Amino acid sequence: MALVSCLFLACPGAGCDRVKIDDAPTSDSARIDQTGALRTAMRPTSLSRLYRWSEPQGLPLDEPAKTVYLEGRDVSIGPLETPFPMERWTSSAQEGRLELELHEPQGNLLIPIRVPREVGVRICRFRLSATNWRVNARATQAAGPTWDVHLEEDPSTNLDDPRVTTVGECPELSTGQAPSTAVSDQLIDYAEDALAGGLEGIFANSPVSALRLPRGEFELLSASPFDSRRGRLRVTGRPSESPSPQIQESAIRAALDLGVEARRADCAPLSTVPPVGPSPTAGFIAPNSLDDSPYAVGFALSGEFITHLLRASTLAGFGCRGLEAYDGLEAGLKPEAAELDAVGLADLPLQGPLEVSVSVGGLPDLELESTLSAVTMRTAPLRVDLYGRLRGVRVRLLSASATTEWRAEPRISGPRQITLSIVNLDVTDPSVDSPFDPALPDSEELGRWVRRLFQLVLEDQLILPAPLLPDSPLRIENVRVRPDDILFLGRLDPPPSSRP
Amino acid sequence: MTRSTIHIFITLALAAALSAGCGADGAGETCQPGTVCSFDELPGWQQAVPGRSVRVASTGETFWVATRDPGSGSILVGPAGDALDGELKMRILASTASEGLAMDGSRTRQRVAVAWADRQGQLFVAVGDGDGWRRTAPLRIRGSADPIAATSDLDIAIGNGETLHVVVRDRARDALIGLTGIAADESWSLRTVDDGAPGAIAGDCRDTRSDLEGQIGYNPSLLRTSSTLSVSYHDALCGNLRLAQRQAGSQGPWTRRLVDDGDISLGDGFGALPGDVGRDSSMAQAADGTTGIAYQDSARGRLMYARIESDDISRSVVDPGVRVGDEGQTDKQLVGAFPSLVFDGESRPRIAYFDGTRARLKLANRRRTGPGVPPRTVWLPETLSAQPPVGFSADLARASDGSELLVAERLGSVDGDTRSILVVQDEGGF
Repeated sequence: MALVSCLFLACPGAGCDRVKIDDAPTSDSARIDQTGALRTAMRPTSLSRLYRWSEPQGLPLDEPAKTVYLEGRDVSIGPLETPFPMERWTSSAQEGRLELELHEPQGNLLIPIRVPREVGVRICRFRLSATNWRVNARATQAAGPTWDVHLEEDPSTNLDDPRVTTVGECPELSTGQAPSTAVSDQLIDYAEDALAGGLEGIFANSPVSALRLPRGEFELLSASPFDSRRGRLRVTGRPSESPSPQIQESAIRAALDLGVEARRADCAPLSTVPPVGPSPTAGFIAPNSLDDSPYAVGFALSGEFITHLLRASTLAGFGCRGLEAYDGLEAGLKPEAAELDAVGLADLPLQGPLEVSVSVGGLPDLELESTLSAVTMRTAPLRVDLYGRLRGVRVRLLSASATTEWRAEPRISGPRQITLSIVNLDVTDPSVDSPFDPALPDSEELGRWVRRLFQLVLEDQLILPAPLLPDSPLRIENVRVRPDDILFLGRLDPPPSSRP
Repeated sequence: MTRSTIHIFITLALAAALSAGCGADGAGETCQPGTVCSFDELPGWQQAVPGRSVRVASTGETFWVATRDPGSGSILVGPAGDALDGELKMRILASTASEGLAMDGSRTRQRVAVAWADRQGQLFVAVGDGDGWRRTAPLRIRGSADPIAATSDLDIAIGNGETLHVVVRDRARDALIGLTGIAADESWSLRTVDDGAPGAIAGDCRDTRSDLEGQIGYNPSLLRTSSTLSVSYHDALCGNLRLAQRQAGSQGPWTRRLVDDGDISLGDGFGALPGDVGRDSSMAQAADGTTGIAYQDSARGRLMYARIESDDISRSVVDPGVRVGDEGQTDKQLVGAFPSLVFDGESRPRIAYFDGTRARLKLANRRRTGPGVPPRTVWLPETLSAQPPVGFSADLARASDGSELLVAERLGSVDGDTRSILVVQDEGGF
């Protein structure tokens, strides 16, 4: 599960799989901690692909039935509810305006007409064939802190060489397979209205909404079987007024204000999360940052907010992990890998792999190091408990604790997930406690052993999910640490084919 | 009484006897199955007694201890009368025993019974009284050529007269079976307690899953009362604790029900996680007729208690396994393994168990906190004084005079090696 608030220790393994999403517009009372915390830019030419991804079956048609007077009687045309496949979707933007055009070189549409009879109704079917089905619309950004766009005018449609034929028999409206001109004209008009309505419906889902950024309210539960680890994190995202959404030739831009509220889990330290101010504007994606890149979308999450979120996640219990049946840490550690002989515990009659429990004694600090494209995190103190199976039950073999500082580099580890690979880990004040009367080495060797254990346990456990909802079509392909934010760059997944 | 924890010592001759195998083999060869044998008392030695799979039972005012030597697999048994003085007079009942060991004592008949399986899956029973010990040949099923493929999941209870009851998870049948017989005869009657067939218990995870069978009957705890034979056991597929019962004097079928499915509700529409309860359980009956089961909730690392009424089962958390840490946070402790339940003279439950996080022995008492009907009660867990790491195979027994004895295994370092050591603790250490 990739979500903005599952960060670092917040999301080892599958610990973040309990998420409740309320995608409704944010209520006024929702807490906002930082304006402009998340900023995104999308290449306008990618808009068509994004919309196509949202509508995999084609242009959605939802045209209600229409009553007209034909051949001396009232008949009902439609309804149409089946998507209409379109081969080519293209989009572009100019200052303040974006355009979307859909084109199908050779298509046909089956349209029903209900004809009343003396007894009952006959349903006649007509096939509308044409070359170069085109539908086009222009939209502008709506005013205010919203991502919505509105159409400048009704979408325009065009069909070359339209022809209507009767499918089956319809003696009331046609002779053989040839309907009257009046019937054909009505069907063509109806089809054009349906296509225009379909495109209008696509724009009802704003471009930024279609990206599936975390707009709305989301609740995450640290879903542990242990009561003391249960906390709750509520993340709120709403369209930002500062900076307001913009449509430019180079990019469609928008920003989110983000807030986070944590309900403290009993396993978390007794701390409070300090407030965070507005995000620095310098961190906004540079105007031309996508022009020279192969990426369709970029978004930047402010470093201050990441730190804030990390602390809130810790407070909500996401930092207390391990010993849970579904937890990634449960996968186990081979006793040989832990080098238990170094602390005099090598001859314990262990059964199977070791298990690990991690807890943090304070709220962490985070620092972005853009020159190294890395992050540095400090936790004081961090405790790792090693459990082994003795006589069939889990027994804590030892507790290792230390103040830690590690530097990690972001690495793509999934379509919407970044793993922070540890490149350097320092420990201070290391200590080891065990009920098994361990033979501890001197302090220097003990520090080396604790450092190695922490690295072993934390490796691949520091996950930085992209701030996207799980059903986002965006695939992250690059991540950069910048002075004030972390920038994610990605492409849109190929749209599902609408053709068999 | 002010005594506390004692490590039991016997002399080095035991080690010599065990390593030579003469004690165990000698016992097996010189004692014809079903006959009364002396199983000569081993002389006193100066070596710590191993505490692997240790069990304790009382016969009136006498406590008996049975334990297993993990090196030779020998079953050692003896009265614990002198144990708190640091000595234990042990006899070797058998060699090549597997992990499981069960023991029961009869106050009225002054008898103690021990059951074990050897490494080939053969099941044995021995009964001791003032005249000596009677040990069976490998048990067989009356009227059946199919052998018993016993696992280490077994328990024994002394019945009326010479009757003994054993429950064991049978590997070949992939089921928990119940056996009834006498020590003088190795041919016993069999009733399947639970084979995990679907539909036996409405609403549990096997109810609608015809593909789920077997993997049931782990760590059974058998209780024989005047009217009922009851066994609690673990269902590994569902992660449940089950209870099976039948009338004690009859050969009728076992009826089964769910004690706890252990499922963990996350609340607020977040659904539930599957539970894992009853890997270890211990059942006992109080003087007032109350029947209880102490068991571990492994998924949540806590100790539970279930009070069994005729139709209802009420559950309570005995020890949630939490401890406030240095930074004000609540640290999770994994507690509740090896539970052992007794009732005191006022029919109040007392449970000895293992704290896996601190490798300590704990004891929980239920105490009344205020007036009312029913009275308000609270569980009071406390950590016992025995030096860690201790508490494996914890077993608590109560004698007719109200005295109690707690035995457990300690993993201690002897000459640089980790050894199994028997630890005995009486009320002074409670």
